[in-house]
Amino acid sequence: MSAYDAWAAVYDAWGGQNPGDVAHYVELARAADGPIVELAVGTGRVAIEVVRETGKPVLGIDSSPAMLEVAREKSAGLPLELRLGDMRELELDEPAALIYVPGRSLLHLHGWSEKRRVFERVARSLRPGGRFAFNAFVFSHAIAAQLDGTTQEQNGIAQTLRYSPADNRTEIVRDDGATLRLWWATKAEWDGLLDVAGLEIEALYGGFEREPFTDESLEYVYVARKPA
Amino acid sequence: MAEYDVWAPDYDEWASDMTEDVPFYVDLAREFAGDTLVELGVGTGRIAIPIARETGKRVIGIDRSPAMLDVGRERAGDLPIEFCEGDFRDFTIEEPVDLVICPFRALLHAPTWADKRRVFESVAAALKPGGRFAWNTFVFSPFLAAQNHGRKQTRGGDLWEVVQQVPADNRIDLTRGRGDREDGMVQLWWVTKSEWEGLIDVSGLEVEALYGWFDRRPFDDDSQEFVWVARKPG
Repeated sequence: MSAYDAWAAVYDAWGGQNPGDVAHYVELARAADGPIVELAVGTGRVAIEVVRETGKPVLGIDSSPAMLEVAREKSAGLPLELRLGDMRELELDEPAALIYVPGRSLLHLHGWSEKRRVFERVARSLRPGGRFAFNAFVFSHAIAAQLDGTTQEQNGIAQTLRYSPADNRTEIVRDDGATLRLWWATKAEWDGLLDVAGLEIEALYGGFEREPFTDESLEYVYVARKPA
Repeated sequence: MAEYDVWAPDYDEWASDMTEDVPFYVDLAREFAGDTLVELGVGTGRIAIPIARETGKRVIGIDRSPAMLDVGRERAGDLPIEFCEGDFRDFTIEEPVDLVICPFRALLHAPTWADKRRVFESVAAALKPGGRFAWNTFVFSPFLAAQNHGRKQTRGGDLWEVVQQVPADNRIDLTRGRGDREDGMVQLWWVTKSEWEGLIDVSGLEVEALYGWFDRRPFDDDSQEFVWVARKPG
């Protein structure tokens, strides 16, 4: 049982708000010469498309059994291996050519030490020259100020947003009590995490069209590489 | 460095609404046995002067702005303060000290992770085992940011400030002036709790305390200031 189980049934409708991310990750998978791993695979929104488009097997890891159950049903017959696991404990039998985390899922990690742990585990699980790709939103004061304390309905689900700047935390509280917490991170912190893990930044894009990252960008789209 | 020089004549006026930090840093200076401490971003001596006066200890003050240091030197008179021009990313001192402080959000002038990492590693190298590093910075408030973005605000007399928020670079661009005159721009890069933890971690320091204000109240979800005390393992 995980805190994310409560979101499994609705996650695709609720969380599929990263237009264009699938094509970006599919392209990275196509270029990968070796095992491909998706962390926080959830209901398989991205992984299933990656498998379909590239024909390559993918290992998807998630901490929520209910999410994985949905993914299993959706991916029947496809070479998508689904594994219950915590990305903080990531361990692979064979080093990967690509590890990726779409859907801003790294924002579920709390505090520097959890994030550092994941980045170090990822670095250790990559082949030399292997890539680590992820995306996360740029924390927007304007959106936060506008949405703090408001209740929105999405696909029939009422959810209230709260922002706690002292802990760089956003909470999404559903009307049935289920709560998701996200901890936003700055560009400097992502750079720091790649630095301590010994990964090199190959590219920082401002979106999934691979446009350059600028002062106006709203999404961090990182591609990092383990030195060969 | 010249970009801060333009603020020197008015700096004390800008800083006049910040006073509660002084006793906090003076107490830290009193709490150790040695006789020397380092202040990064010493500026015009707003903190260093009361420390030297009240504790009698020697302050090595480092700042990038010669004009700020000139003001400080004049104000400090015979007090045991050395005003040194230098960059806090790669300062070195002859003898390790028991305390390094960086008050008044000066660390937010470091733009990137690499800059900040260098500052923290320089600090760790300058400390004796068991020595402390103390600094404070604001918690970035999206609510304040949304209010002040793009607005011209007056700050006493005819001093004014225009704030531009650049979230993609976790940056705040402050353009300041007096009356009809524009004096230039200063940039601040705001830092989250998690990133401060990371900088402490990579430099081999340990968190001794995180307070929510200078009266040493605990840091919690409602805190608006990070007041950190880190320690080099003894």
